This record gives sequence, C-alpha cells and structure tokens, in this order.
Amino acid sequence: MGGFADFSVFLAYSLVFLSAGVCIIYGIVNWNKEGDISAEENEEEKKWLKTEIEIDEEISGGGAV
Amino acid sequence: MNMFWLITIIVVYLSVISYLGYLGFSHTKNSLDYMVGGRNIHPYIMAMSYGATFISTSAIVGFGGAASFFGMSMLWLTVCNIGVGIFIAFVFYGKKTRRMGLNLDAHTFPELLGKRLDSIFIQRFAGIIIFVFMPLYAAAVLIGASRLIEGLLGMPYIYALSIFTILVAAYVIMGGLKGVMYTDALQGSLMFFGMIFLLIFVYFKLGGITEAHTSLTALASKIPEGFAKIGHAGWTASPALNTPLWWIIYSSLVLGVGIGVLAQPQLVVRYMTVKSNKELNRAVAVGGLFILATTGTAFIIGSLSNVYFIENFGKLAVQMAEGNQDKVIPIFVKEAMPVWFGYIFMLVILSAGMSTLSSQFHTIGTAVGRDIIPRFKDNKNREIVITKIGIAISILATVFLGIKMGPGIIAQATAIFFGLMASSFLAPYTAALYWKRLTRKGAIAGIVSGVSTTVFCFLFLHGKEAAVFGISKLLIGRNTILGGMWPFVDPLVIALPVSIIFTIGVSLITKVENQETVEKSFKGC
Repeated sequence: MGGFADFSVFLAYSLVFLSAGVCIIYGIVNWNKEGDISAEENEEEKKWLKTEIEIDEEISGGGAV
Repeated sequence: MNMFWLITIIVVYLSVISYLGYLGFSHTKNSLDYMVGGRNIHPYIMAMSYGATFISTSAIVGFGGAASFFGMSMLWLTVCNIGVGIFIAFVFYGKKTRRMGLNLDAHTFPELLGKRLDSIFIQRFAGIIIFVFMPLYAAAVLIGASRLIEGLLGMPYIYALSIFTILVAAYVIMGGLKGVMYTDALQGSLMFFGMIFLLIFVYFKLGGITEAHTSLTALASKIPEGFAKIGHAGWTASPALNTPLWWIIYSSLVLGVGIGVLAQPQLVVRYMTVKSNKELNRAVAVGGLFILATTGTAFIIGSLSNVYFIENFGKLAVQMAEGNQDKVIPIFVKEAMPVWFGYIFMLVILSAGMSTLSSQFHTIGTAVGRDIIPRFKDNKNREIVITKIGIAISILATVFLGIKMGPGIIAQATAIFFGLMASSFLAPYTAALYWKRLTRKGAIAGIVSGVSTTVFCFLFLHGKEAAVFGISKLLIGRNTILGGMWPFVDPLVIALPVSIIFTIGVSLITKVENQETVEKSFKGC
C-alpha cells in the first residue's frame, strides 16, 4: 500500500489527490456557468451594483480613502 | 546564508508587496472597495487570496511540525481542507453567501447574519467575538513568521515581530481589502510554487515516493515512549482508536480546523468580493490545487523529516527540535534543502504569514468599524476611519499576545479559534443560508449556546486550556471535572451539536419575525 503501515493513512493520502482532482474537474466543467442565476437576473444585479457604488461614492465624496 | 543576498531578496520582495499595497490604495474609492473589494475581484485573485488567508504559518510551520510528531494521519486534515474548506465552502456556502450578501448589502460576516435576521444584537455580538478572540489566532500566525525571521537573520525575536507587524499594518490600513487581496495573490503564488518544489525535492532526495514511505514506516520501532503511551502507532499509521492521540488528531486538528473553516469571518467575506457564481466555480479549481500544494506538502514533509533526521543525525524530529514542534520545519529546510531554497522558503513563510495576518487585521478592523460601532449613514469616511482605528487596536493586542504566548503554541491557538468560530456560528450561518424558518431567537440561542459551551469546555473539560486557567483546579482540586478521554476531546465535538440543537429547537417554537426580510434575503438564491 504505497509504503504505508495501515489502510487509513493510505486512504487519506489517496483522497488528498482525488479531492483536488474533483475540484479541478468541477472548476473546468463549470468554467462559464453562472449556476442558478439567470442572465436577466445577473443584468439586474450588475445594475444594482453600479447604483450602490455611485451612491457610496456620492456619500463619501469620492477619491481615495 | 549570505547576508547580502538575503537582504536584497527581502528588499525586492517588500518593494513588490508595497507596490501592490499602493495599487490597492489607488483602486479604493469608497467603503464598498475598502470592505469587500468593490465586489468585482478576479477569480484567480479571489481563489489565491482565500487560499493564502486560509493557509498561514500555522498550517506550514505549526501543523507541519505537528505532523513530524504525529505522522501522516494528519493528511485527513488536508482531505477536509480540500473537500470541506474548498469544495463545500465555495459550492454550497460561497454562492448563497455571495448572493445574500448582495441582496442585503452586507460588507462583513457579522453584518450578513445581522441583516438576514434583522438583529443588530447578532451583528454586534459576532463583531465582539471576532474582536476579542481573533487576536489569539493572529498572534499564532505572527509568532510563526517572527520565529522564522529570528532564526534566519539572527535578529532578536521582539525586533522581528515588530518589523513584520509594521510592514503588514501599513498596507492593510492604507489599501483596504483590495490591497490585502492583491498582495495575497502574489503571496499565494509564491507559496504554491515553493511548496510544490519542496515536495518533489524531498521525495527525490529520499529515493522516491514508496521508498520514502517505507523508510518512514520502518521508524515505528523508534517511537519515543511518551508518544507510544498516548497512542502513537508509527508515522504512517493511524493512532490506536480512542487513545488521547486519536482524539487530539481527529477531534482537535482534523474536525476543529477541517469543519471550522466554514465559519471563518475572514474567509466568508471572500465570497462577497466576486461579481457572479462563475468566478466561484473557477476558484474551486484554483483553490483545490492550492490546498493540495500547501497543507498536503507540509504534512507529508513534516512526517518525512523523521527519515532525513534519522539517516543524517540519528535523531527523530522531536529530538532535533528539542520538543518544540514549531521548530521542525525551519530546521528541516535549513539542514536538508539547498541554500538557495532557504531564500525561497523564507519568502514562502513570509507570504503565508503576511497574507493571513493582513486578512485578520482587516477582519478585526471591519468588525469594529462596521459591526460593533453604530453606522454613520451620513459619512462613510468616518466608518473607514473607525475601521482603521480598529485595525490599529487589533495590531497592538496581537503584538502583546505574540510576546506573551509560550513556545509550541501555534497549532493549538489556531485550532482553538477555528473551533470557537464553528461552535458559535456554523449552525446559525448554515440555517441562515438554507432555512427560511430560522428565527432571530433561534440564531441567538445557537450562537450564545455555542460560545458558552465552548468557554465551559475550555475552563472545565479540555485538559490543555483548563490547566492554564486553573478554575477547575481551584474549585474541585483537579484540572478537569471529567477523567478518561474527556480532557482530549475537542470542545467543538460537544459545542457544535449543542449549538445545532438550540438553533433548530428555538426556531421551531418561535415565529419568523420579518417575512419580508426573508424573501429579500433569498431573492435569486
């Protein structure tokens, strides 16, 4: 078992690489997916965020803080 | 080490860090930028910042040193770090948190909980918990980095600690979260490549993967008597079931830190810095690889250091480090690696320390400026000024603890903070994201029961802390009120179920206070 004394540690060693592999595959497969948010909602979100930043700047007077 | 090259490398490194800190400062126009990076951070920067904040000197020096004592069963923590700390965190917590944070205009973790439940008490109480306890974790990180600088430059510890703190404080206070995240991205990249090289080099030096593991397995006959007594069964074997060491590894280190990561305020705020779920999906890939390279390497190298030390010095790591596990990794790098790698590793450790410490200072500061002190709706610049004052106070508290805390404390202090955060906030936070029936009273009951159970365990049950506080000894003449395995069981094992029961139980017997807030919170989630 790869030089390990017991199965539990061999399993941990294997799962470390396996779980990293799952993360990489998940990231690649979902690279361009927005998830459960529709494009329309995302447009609304961008508009909301822009407004929030404008309000924020207006209140703080803009410029580096 | 050649002093000229050492100082040249440090000056170049700090110049680049200063430039990135300035870049963050120049890109910061308002409190949204200062607190959550304007919610439009690049996914690579977000993932590296999350990883570099998560993985500190505690993980590499403290937990790597713990692996040199306890062996490769510590790799279960890496499995948790990737499976829970990256995959579950980003996919099941990150997306909901990002969207809910946007819906509620939350800039911090306490503010997210407070606004979701319409409770200024929750926001302030969570802010106070962060303000009071996070300096303990920050001090652990500071000690790790300062000890390394002390060892490399031969500089007195107090000077190393002061210089390191001033450098980090400068770009956190000026650059806000953008300054923190830009520098994190560079520091995370340095950590990634440095640790990958270390892993490959050590396996190569010890004759290959299987050969190295076989040599480590053969050291089982050399286990020190003190280790064998608490359940140590060898560096490639799991400790005997239900022994003190089994409980230390699996309840304090693996469970405490592995699960605790989900409720870390300095990490939760990262989810709120990206503009869509797409960025979080991409960050999963980068984050998984990063954690594998950092904690995976630290725990494997920590364990394998025993093989190198036995072959070259006839001693185990514990003997080489004279019983202080925080010294093992620095000694191993100094003795086993080429001189030029010593310079690289120094940057890796500096990066690990600076990236985590900067986020801790920023989180404590925002807890003061945004959560504890009432909001200044008419003047957001005052909010940032108070945040900066909060950061300054947290720095002083951290430096004080960094001077006062004893040796070999890094991994323990980290596990205490991670466990406390999970016990207090994980149940209400999870319910806030997924359960519309969660009530304000239920969340308060979950948080208060989690904190009080954890504090009770530290004072009366968990051996290490109970012995330090001495209250149990004063009252009943013993360090802990229960014997057997209980002094080794991490408080999280008791406090988290208590918090879950209170969160659900109290919510079921009370009514949701404001249905409108619930609908607003869950819009688009």
